[in-house]
Amino acid sequence: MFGGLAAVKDFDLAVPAGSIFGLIGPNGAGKTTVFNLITGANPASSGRVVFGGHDITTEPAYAINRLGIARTFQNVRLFKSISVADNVRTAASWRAGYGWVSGVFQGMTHARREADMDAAVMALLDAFDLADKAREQAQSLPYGEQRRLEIVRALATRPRLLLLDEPAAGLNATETNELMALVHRIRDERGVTILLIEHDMRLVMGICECIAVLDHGVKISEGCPSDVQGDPQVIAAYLGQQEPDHAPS
Amino acid sequence: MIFWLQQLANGLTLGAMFALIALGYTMVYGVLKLINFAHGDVLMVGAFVAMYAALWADHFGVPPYFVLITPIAMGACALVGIVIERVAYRPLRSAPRLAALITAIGVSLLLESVGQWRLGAEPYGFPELLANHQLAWLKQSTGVHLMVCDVVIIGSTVALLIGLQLIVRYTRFGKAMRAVSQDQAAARLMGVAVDRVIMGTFALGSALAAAGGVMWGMKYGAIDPIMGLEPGLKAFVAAVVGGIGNIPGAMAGGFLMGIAETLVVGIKVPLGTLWGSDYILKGTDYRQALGFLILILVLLLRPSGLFGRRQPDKV
Amino acid sequence: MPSVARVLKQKGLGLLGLVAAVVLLGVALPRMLPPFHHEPLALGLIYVVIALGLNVVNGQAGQFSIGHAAFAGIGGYTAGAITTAFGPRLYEWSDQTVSLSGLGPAALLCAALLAGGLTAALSGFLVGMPTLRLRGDYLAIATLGFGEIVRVVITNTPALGGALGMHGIARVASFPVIAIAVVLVLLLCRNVATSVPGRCLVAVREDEIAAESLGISTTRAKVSAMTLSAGIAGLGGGLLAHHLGTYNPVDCSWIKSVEFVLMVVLGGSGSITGTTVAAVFLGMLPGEMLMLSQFPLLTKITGNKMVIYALLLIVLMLVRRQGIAGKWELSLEWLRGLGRKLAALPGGGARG
Repeated sequence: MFGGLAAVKDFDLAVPAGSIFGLIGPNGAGKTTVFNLITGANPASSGRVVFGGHDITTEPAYAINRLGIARTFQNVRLFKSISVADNVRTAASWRAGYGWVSGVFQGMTHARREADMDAAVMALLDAFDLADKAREQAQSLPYGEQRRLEIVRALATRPRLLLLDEPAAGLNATETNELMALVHRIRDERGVTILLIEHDMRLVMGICECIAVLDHGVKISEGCPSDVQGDPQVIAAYLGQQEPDHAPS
Repeated sequence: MIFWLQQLANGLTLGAMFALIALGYTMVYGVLKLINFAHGDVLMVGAFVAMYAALWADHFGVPPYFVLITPIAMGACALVGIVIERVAYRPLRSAPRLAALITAIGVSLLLESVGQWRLGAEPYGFPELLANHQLAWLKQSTGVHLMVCDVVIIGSTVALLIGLQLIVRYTRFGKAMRAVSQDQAAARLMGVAVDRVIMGTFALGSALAAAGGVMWGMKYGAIDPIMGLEPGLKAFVAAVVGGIGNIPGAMAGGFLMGIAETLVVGIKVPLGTLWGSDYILKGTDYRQALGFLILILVLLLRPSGLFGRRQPDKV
Repeated sequence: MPSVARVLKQKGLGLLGLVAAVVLLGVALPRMLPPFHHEPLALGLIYVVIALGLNVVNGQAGQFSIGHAAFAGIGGYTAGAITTAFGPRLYEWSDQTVSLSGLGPAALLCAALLAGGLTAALSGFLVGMPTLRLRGDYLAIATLGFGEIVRVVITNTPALGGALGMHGIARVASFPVIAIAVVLVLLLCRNVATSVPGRCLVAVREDEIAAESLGISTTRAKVSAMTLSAGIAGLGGGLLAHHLGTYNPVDCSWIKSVEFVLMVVLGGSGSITGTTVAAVFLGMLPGEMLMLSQFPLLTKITGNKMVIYALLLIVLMLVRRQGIAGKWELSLEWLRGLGRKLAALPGGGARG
């Protein structure tokens, strides 16, 4: 609820593990709010969020990440003034396995864990073609690479579920194709379930295995791409009122 | 009974001054989302302008009436407020909030330290601006001790508050101010001259602070370059208590703070008897810390104040 | 995977470097400088400690506190009270800083300074817990308020000396002691910055929401930052108490805190190097200005240094928000790079 306006209500969604699931709907439908509810960025006024058998509705945001859910943001939220590698290192931090005491005294444990983390970070950057820019400031990267970095950074937390909020926004056709391949790679190579919000229909229809449609905070359709495409309710939501015989097949 | 009436009277007088100053904080926060640290020092400037204006008027044989001197001080401080906004805050509109905050602290410190440098740290006597005497009839009928200046303070504050409400509700400028405080970008798109509105808000708030400063000088008889700190911070707490950005809230908050302080100051608890000494916990000693204590409590328990609303952040 | 041997070698060299730094700072430097400069230098170095403490929370974590003079004060009063209570005969009273006369006094001083730091850290924790969920401006006012409450409470407590301050504290924080403290604190800050906790702080500064989404508890990070920061400031306060022999509640006020804020901002919020340089500079400045007393204008300026500081803050924000160093740090990497560039100069080539 935002000051009296219910952003999302009566929303019921089950995302199968290992799938690439799309969440679409017109602007202001409440899609990002769904993400925020899942990740704990906004509190839920009612209902439950269950992940892998655990009820995570009231967990704080950072705990939800540690349980295995990572996300990217609609407006890229990189740590702008630090380097590419440091962005990823920060994400790998809680998995590094040492805390204040080790950090302050920097003995053998610290050296070993840092070396391990460094190796993992560089491997990740390498796998996604960002290794040569490791030392550069994050904000100096071109937009497409910034988006990629945000995804790679989220991957560094080794999630089981990855939420992508409009990952193709601002990308041209080539970059979008690369993104589609990237998403497939992440799911296929790492077994990560993907839930994404998108407006780019080519991408959605291209890679999503199941889709749910949200309008004014309510789910109005769900199923595989071809079904959803032809659903008159969905078309109405996007285009306003439409006579049935004008519906595209 | 008399005791409580007296406390109420004192509290209202103090509260009136807090309310005037609190309005400046709340209005500026409304349009700029910035806590104008320097606001309390503007009231100090107002008090000193009033003092010099009164001396100057005297010099020319013009009687320094309250109704003459106060507008002069208000006008001068309106200008001061505009200058501060123009020089220190406007260039940082698009900068991170922290930068504007640091600048605000810098301006406050600048006003205080320049004041101390040129005027010294010793208090100056504030001239008589009206025939101040006790209201004997009131004392005789109810036993409450009230001076003419107290009545003038409360009266003119109410007048100024009414005037402000009229401006905010019924003038174009007031509407523009409310628009800018709700959504600056949208207001600009609607053709509101945002820069002018912000300038005007600063002018208005500073003028009110100046009035508060003159009244402070009248009531306590002495002013000094760091006089603005205490009432400034307490008025800020008042603004937060009422819900920062909320004008009626600031008014209410101001009066509440005045009454609260009056009550606390009267406290004298002989704590020493607990462990066999003659230590008395006096409210007056902790007067300065009271404002902050209330602030921290409010911020922890109900940060949106009495009249504000909680808004969750949209990611 | 670094071998144990290599890490030991690195640590060994590091330790040697630290000892060398302490000797340089604590013994060599004072010997080289004429006595007039000693006081300003000592003060400047002590201020480095406090400023570095502030840098952790203001600079690295990006949380704005203007109450650190109070944390320093808590540390100073606590440490002073301990040495005064437990060691009246261990130290000679003097109107100058004296050296420690043995292991006993040294141990007591260490314990006192540590206690001061821990007390300050505890207050930092208590202050941080409830207030760190407040946004920038509000946090600033809350810390300002805390500082003022501390000042008022101390002023009204006769047992601590009240408004006149605490006097007669053993003046045993001489150069070697200060040097050890400075070097240790620098090491501490650098270690924090280059490890997981430090990275979490930076993440919180850069983007809290993103940090939370990456598994970082921003509340924990902020409170830790405030606690550590207050503790370091408390240590600095203890040094100050034992160097000057007194501590006054006025030095816990927000105006004093703003001086430290200026050091951090001038040097570059977040930069350990920058903050150190700025702290030494601003700490030494008033003392050094006294030397130029034949120029009455300068004495006038130093008497009203807050005017300059205030102007400096405003100008910095308008003209160069990142301070002198921005986020740059002096590091071995940078020095090696510099060495390479110098070697590549034409003169070097001709020789080789």
